[in-house]
Amino acid sequence: MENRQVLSQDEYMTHNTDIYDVEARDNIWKRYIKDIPHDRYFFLPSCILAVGYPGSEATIPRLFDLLDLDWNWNLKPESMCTCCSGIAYHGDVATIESTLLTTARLWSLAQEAGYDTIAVACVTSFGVHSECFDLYREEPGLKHKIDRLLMEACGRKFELPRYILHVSDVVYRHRLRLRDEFMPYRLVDKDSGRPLRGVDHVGCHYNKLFPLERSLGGAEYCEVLSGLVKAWGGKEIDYPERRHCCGMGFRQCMLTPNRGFTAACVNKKMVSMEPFQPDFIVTNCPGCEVYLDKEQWAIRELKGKDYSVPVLTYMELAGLLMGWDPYEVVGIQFHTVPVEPLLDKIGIPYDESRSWLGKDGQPLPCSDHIVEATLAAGRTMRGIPLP
Amino acid sequence: MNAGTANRKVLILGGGVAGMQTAIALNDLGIPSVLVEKEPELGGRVRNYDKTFPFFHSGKELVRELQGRVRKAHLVEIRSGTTVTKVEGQAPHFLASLGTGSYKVPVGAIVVATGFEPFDASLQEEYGYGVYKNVITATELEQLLDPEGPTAGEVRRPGDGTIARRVAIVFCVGSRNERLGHNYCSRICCSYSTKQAIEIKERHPDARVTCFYIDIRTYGRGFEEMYRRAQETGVTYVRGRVGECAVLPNGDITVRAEDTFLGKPVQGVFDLVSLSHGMTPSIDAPAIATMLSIDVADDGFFDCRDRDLYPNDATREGIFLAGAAIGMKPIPDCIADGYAVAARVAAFLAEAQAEKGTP
Repeated sequence: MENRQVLSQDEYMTHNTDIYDVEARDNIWKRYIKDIPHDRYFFLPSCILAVGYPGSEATIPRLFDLLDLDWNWNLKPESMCTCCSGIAYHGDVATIESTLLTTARLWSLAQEAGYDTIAVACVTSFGVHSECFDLYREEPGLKHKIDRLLMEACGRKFELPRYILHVSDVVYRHRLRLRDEFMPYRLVDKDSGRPLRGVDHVGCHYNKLFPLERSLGGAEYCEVLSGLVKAWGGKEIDYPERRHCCGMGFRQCMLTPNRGFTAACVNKKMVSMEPFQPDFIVTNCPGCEVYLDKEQWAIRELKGKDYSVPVLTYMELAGLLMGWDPYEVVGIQFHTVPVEPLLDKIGIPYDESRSWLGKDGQPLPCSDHIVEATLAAGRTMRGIPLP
Repeated sequence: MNAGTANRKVLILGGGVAGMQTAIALNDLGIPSVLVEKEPELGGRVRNYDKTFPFFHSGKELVRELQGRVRKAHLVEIRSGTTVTKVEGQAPHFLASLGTGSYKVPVGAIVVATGFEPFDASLQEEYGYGVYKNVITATELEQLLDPEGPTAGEVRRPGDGTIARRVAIVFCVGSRNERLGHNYCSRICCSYSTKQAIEIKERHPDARVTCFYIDIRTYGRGFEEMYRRAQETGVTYVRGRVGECAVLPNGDITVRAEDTFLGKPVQGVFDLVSLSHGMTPSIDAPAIATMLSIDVADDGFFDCRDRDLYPNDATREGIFLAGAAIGMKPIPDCIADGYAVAARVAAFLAEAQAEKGTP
């Protein structure tokens, strides 16, 4: 192409503002303002977040308490929180009535505790709660029917909650206070002073189901995560496959023959973001966290291409910047893609020898076949001397 | 109708093609008019068009021709750079106030020719207009294609000033879109986009011009022939609505669409993307409707007394509609509207005068 001045990536990243108008982008997301109350949240945990990345979920109550928020999450012993039924619902093994009943019971728990704001840790749950709420709005008579069924099922009454939030909304609401009062670190390269480049990956069911009513910033320029990155010193990256699904999708990730599609989706995103040289990916969806992280390993094994872009949840990111222990509190040892290189860039200290310690401070027992399998896969277990 | 002598003067709101043609036709019929245009210069949006479709005539020339005729028309009083702020009374005894209200004019009938507003392409957020500098609108492309324009007719990218040779044209931006509440077809976009594609391709045969469309609606005289010419010139047409535009580090734009002929998604990288935006009612339409006590239809354009029999009559007696104020139409239709409205106004005033006597 004649007369083409192709900018190098460094030029683009450091000075070139020609391709992207930040002010216009801000004007677009501000069309979708979401009302996020200061506190009084009823917290509903995720089913898979605590399994894959336990530190991420465990830090939520810790953060709420740090901010001295009024919140609650459990009324023992009868009213334990349950799954929202999302996996069964999207897998077509539960009827919509079952899902409506499940969410109605969870709302009932919140109301019994005196809260009218639901704050969920999972994006699938967020979508399920939002969808159920919308069904009541769209279908006259449905509330009456579910009222009756809920009373028959467990003797409870419920009302529609006033707010349905994702915990990332809450963190967004308090992002500046967190930065100013609690964060000793910034998303900045400690050596060069360069803002770290963050790729935001917003869970599909957060911003694509009800972009107008439920998403902070709408579907196209969702602000809920990129707003955190920017507030905490980083730089937002806009790349072509930014809005592409991570590929989890309950129909393929659970069926072995289809699982390659998930890896292909992650690969598509990684190929697309690579020219923008991301330093990290931040997500608010447990499923996206799992697949964006684990599939990078699969891509390396299948294609020999090592991207190694650390994937963090918004809570892990907040925890690390607040100086919480990367292993004991945030739990970065659960990540497949090592997070330590990111910590090095920011200047957050860590002690790798403490990555797999039990409560007594001793290394966790690890069977020989796990060690062998790990070695066979070409990885070393971090922090533990291998035999 | 009120008692008293009917006014013979006609108030025309809007000095674009339809408004000017109405004034000229009324003048030919011996009916005086006041032509009010809010911009300092007459001509409306066509004033800035380098070429019109389907015959590639100059839009600027057309406007200059109409401006000359209006100025020569001794029964036309031109009031540009002002607006109508108040209308009192009933037909044929309206009293219109202009500007601050210091100038009042009694009129017997009113013609609304307030035209259209280009759709704000930034509302179709997935295309990144406003955010990605190399995504532009068709109006901006028209300026780039204009030899008298900012780039002297060279299609250069706004982002870095380089020459664009891979150009995507996205049809139906803001038209036929239920999500945005614009269910109607804007009727002229397929044709003006095809005209622009031909211009690029004929000037630069090595350029790659790709049009993404839902349906091609080239319905007017000479339109289909123009569409054929585009294909023969080498313009590529892909049937499928564009889902997303995104920017690459060097400013190139990736366009993703569904090719509904192939039944699969397609993606391409372009130097420049032009969004063929549809049209929306004039930004002043709601205020004018309130001021004149006339109705707007569901699509936001002014409603007609009867869409079959009286397409140029507003929903209130003595008020008439011309041009794009009643929905999008190409320039020849706006000219025809000018004649049609002049005839309707003449008939109305003649009837009023017959009932109440000539002044």
